[in-house]
Amino acid sequence: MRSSITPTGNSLPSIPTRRQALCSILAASAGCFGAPVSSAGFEVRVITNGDGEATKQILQSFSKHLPGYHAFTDIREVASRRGSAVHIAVGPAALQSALDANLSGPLLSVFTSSETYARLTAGSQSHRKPDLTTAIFAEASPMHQMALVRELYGRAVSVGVLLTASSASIEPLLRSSAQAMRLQLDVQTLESGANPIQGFARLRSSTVILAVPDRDLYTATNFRDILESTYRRSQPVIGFSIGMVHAGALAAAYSTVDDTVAHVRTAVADLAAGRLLEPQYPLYWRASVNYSVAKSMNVVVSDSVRALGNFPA
Amino acid sequence: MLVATAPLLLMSLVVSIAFYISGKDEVAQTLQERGHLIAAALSETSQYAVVSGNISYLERNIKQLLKTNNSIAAIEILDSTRKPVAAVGIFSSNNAAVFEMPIGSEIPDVDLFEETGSPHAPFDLAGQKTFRSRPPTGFVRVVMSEIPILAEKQRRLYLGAGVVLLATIFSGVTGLYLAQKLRAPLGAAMTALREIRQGRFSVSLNDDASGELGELHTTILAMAQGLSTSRRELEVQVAERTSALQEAMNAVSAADTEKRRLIARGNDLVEEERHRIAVEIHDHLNASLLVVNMKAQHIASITSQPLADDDVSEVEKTAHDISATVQELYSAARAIVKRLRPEVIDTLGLKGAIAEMVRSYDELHPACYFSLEVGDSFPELRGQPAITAYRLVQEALSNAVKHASAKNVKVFLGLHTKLNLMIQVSDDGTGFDPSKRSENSFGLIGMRERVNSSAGSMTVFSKQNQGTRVTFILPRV
Repeated sequence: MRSSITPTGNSLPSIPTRRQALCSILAASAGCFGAPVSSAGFEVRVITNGDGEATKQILQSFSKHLPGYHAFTDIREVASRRGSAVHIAVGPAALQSALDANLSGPLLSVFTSSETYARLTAGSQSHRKPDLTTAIFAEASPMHQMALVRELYGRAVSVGVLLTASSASIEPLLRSSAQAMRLQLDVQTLESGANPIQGFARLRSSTVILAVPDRDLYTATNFRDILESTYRRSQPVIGFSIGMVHAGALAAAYSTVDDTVAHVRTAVADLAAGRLLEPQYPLYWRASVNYSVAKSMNVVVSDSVRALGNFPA
Repeated sequence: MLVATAPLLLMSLVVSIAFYISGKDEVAQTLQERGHLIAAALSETSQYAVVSGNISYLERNIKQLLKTNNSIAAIEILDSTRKPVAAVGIFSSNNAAVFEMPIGSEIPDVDLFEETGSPHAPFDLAGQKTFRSRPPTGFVRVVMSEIPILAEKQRRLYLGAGVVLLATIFSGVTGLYLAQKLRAPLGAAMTALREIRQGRFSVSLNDDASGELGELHTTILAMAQGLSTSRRELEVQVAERTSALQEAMNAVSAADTEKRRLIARGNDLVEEERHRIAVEIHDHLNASLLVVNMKAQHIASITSQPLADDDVSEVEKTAHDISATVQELYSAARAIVKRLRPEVIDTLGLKGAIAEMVRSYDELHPACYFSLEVGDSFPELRGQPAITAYRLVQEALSNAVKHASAKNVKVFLGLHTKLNLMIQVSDDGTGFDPSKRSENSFGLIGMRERVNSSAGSMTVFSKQNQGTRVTFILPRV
């Protein structure tokens, strides 16, 4: 089972070209993006694990941008369904159940972090062909996070990143992204069982801390403690969700539901046409800033930061 | 006078007792508030130290806190397993109260993608809470002693009671001094007020009093002066009103006299008229009727025998005489009737009747020129309103002839309003003073009574040697 992550942040410029080519192929049979996806001879099956608030918002966006899809909460019902289909697993629980069910046809994971995706796919006993499983991750790419840091400070600052064994595989991507954005990068790895708060103390020379999804490091229980400890050293934190910005992070590059679903739409068309996709970060993203934190940390936020991002047409 | 200080002494006693009672309650309340406040503050500030293990700076802060606030007996920081990580102070204090607060039990409700159930949501999630609870990362335990607070409260109580006692003594002495100082001026003011109450406004007060007492004296004097002036003015007003009332009563009495004289005059006129009519009937009608009777008897005696030609001529002549006499009788009777009721109104209407009257006066009195002006809208009137107007003009012209020695007399007929006539008779004669009534001015009185009886009004304007203008306003109906 494949568990590596392709640095799609660097390869994003090639996506529009691919989409144009795909559209021309599909246009002959399915009327391109305007018509329901299922009318092109395949079915879009959206698998969820329930009806939580996040799931409701996601399905509302699917209804708006991907008409004709079929939603399922019971994986057995999906497995018993016939005909060619693209499967979309919404969230980690849906991905896990889809992997366990050995579904035929392509499977696209959405709204699952890269770290969780890697862990679930690595641990899966599924007999599926690995190439048929792909993902659009929940968090924005490190490239976009670095771009946000660069735009916030407008100069080459030092970015500190704390990783654990769970997220260590992302280090090459972090380095290439920092290099692309001409930023200094300080990566420290926390040993298993060590106190994360004390681990952040090792990044005291960094100007700003970049958070990446890692359940061994960042949890809702310790996030306040992390913020307190970093702010004591005047180190703002760049998060990976708007919730982190609300909680006290300086800023975050993130994708809205509609941003992700717009990306899903192109991915579904590719998968339906038999093209294989690498797991990738969201194509569309935007920036959110906590101005209170910025003021406290003496970070001047320019208008260009507010306009930063890649927005769907 | 010492009784006046009793409320002050009572108040100081009550204040001192209140200080004492509230002070006792405040000690317990202060202990509670301080304990909670310090424990809450420490639970917020200790989190980093407990989580990161950097306890040294926390111990320094706690020691500093104990130095600055002697009511804190001891402070202890415990980790999540209640194992002490820092402890400062003495824990076996008498009269101690212990306050414990959890450290960091409120955390932001944020999705950090660590869950493996729900979708990882980097976007805004509707209905998401801002904060949620979690198991505390440690505990703060603050031990408070009430002894320092009690000592402080006791010191404040003594100080407060001392201040109250001093203030009471000072206030009492000052009050007695002021009362003594106020007594004489207030007594004088009271005496003056009693004089005023008894109606004697000529009061005197010493003007050496100053401040509010001086103002009181000045006010009393001003009030006495004002009351005196008001009384004089009232007396003048009463005298004026009494005089006016007397004049009104005299006027009423004069009006009654006038009316009685008018009635007597009316009766005289009626008797005169009856006498005149009787004389006329006796002199004219009766004599003529006797003549007619004799002539008729003469014709009868002639015609009782065969008639000669002379007899026929005689009968014819006598019949002519009878006819002439009857004609005279008819004229005499008509004159009487005409005097009693101006039938010219019935035939010519008011406008024509007055024109005839004016023309008649002008003929009868060549020394004076009588003229008539009639407004365009003046209506043709007959009946009682016309007779009233006719009689008024007749009386006015008669007065002008009798008393004015005028060269010109002018009658004007017009409309005052749609419903009222305006009739004006003016002359350029000698005039008179309307305010001086002559005992024999029955003409004016009669006119006024006639106008009043028809619900009209009459105005007389006249001055010596400036003529007279009489204006009548009369209803049309």
